[in-house]
Amino acid sequence: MTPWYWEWWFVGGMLLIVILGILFLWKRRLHELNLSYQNIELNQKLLRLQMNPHFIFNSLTAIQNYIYSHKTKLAGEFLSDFARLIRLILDNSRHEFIMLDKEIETLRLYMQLQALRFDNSFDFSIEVDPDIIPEITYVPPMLAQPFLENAIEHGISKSKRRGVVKIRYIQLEKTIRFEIVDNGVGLTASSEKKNGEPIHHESLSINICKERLLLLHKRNRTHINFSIREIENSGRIEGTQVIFDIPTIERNRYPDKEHKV
Amino acid sequence: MKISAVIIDDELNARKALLNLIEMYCPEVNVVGEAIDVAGGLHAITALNPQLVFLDIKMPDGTGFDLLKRIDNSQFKVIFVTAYDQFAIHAIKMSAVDYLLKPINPKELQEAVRKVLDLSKLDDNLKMKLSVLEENLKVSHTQIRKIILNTSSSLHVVSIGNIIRCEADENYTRVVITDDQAIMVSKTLKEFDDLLSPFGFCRVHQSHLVNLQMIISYEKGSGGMILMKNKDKIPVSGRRKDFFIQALELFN
Repeated sequence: MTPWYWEWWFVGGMLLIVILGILFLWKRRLHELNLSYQNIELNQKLLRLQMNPHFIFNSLTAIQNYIYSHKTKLAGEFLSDFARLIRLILDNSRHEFIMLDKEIETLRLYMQLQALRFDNSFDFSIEVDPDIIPEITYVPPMLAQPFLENAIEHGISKSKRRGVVKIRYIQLEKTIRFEIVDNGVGLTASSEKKNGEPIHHESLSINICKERLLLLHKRNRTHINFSIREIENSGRIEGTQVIFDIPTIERNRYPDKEHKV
Repeated sequence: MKISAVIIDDELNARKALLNLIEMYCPEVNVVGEAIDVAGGLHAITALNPQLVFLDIKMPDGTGFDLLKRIDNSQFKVIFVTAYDQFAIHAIKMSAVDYLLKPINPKELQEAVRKVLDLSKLDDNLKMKLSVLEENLKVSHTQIRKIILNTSSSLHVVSIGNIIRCEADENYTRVVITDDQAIMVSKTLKEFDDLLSPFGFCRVHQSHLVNLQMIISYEKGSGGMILMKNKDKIPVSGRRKDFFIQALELFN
């Protein structure tokens, strides 16, 4: 009489469970690898988008001008601000989430440098809801940067009005609403033509943004709502509005979220 | 007699920087006007009739190329100035038009101005270059058909498909064309490699760049020997052999 644990059905069953287990672990590992690979790829794309060569070289040209015009103070300030911004962007790009105060500093520097570059042809403001504590709030870095760039370099520079860019963080019930509003020419008018084909600057930013949000969702179960629209007033386009609804993540709740990739 | 010049660029800092650079490094150039976009640029050129135009590529109401299309461009010289535009720069290089990158290097500025002045006798040159540039800009990057070859005495507009091969000759390059013509150009083979590799040209040897379409046969050996359509025999260096075979397979 064979004991029950030597019966063919038991041995076979155990074997099957082990094999399925190994298969499952293997699949999950592959999935993780795939996600982190996608993340690296996306990070590179993002960094390329943020380190826009036009921005970099035109900023350097501005510094060159200040030097030759003997505006030494301005040259020095611009240079160190520029260096600080590049450092922040490089630093931020390695994290999926950063503290909101760091994000705001990056945005402010970026907007200041762009304002100097465009000879103060636009005003900008950054407003943070008093209910939000930036030092303990996590957000994905530089979600808005491509849209700010579009607003400044295409939306506003083509518009006759003096440019205004408003950046706001509003605390909603479970999310933080991150909103960017400009008074430029809108999405359709800011596209330009190359080889007869209209190029939508917006579309590249939107695609990368969507891809990024999807990946954030897959890796961290963080769902961020994103929308972009033209602001219309009695048929006339008066600007663009971009909204991100980011789940409120505070430091005490996700202590290890700021991990490196 | 000073040369009159106009600067067209949408960014204030870029115009000022260039103005400063010209004052410091090119005293023979006199900047008579500035403009911040295509429309203003057209106006300034018509009104001031300058001999030289420093032209930005990307402006809010169009590109520097758009501006040139809308004006008789045989009356002045152009130096393009851009911060970054890989596509346009490649097309500009193919047309042998002068350009500067921002922030501008003083030596390159002097060099570009000197070149423009040297060429002032050959009046139709710019027109020809710009028409090739315009043609090349119409199509996408890899469909460019023509290249301008600048020799000490003349300009040649050559269809890329008609180039058989290029051979290094110290700092010059001998470009061999279908009708057994060879043109000596003062560019290095490396520069031709960069310009022509998107069009099916392959660097097979330290001194040789060949058009893959112009190959009749390949005799394998340690490196091997290529027979070109015009019966020229070109050696393949041992280290380039695998690369060459790959390129050949990819191309056919």
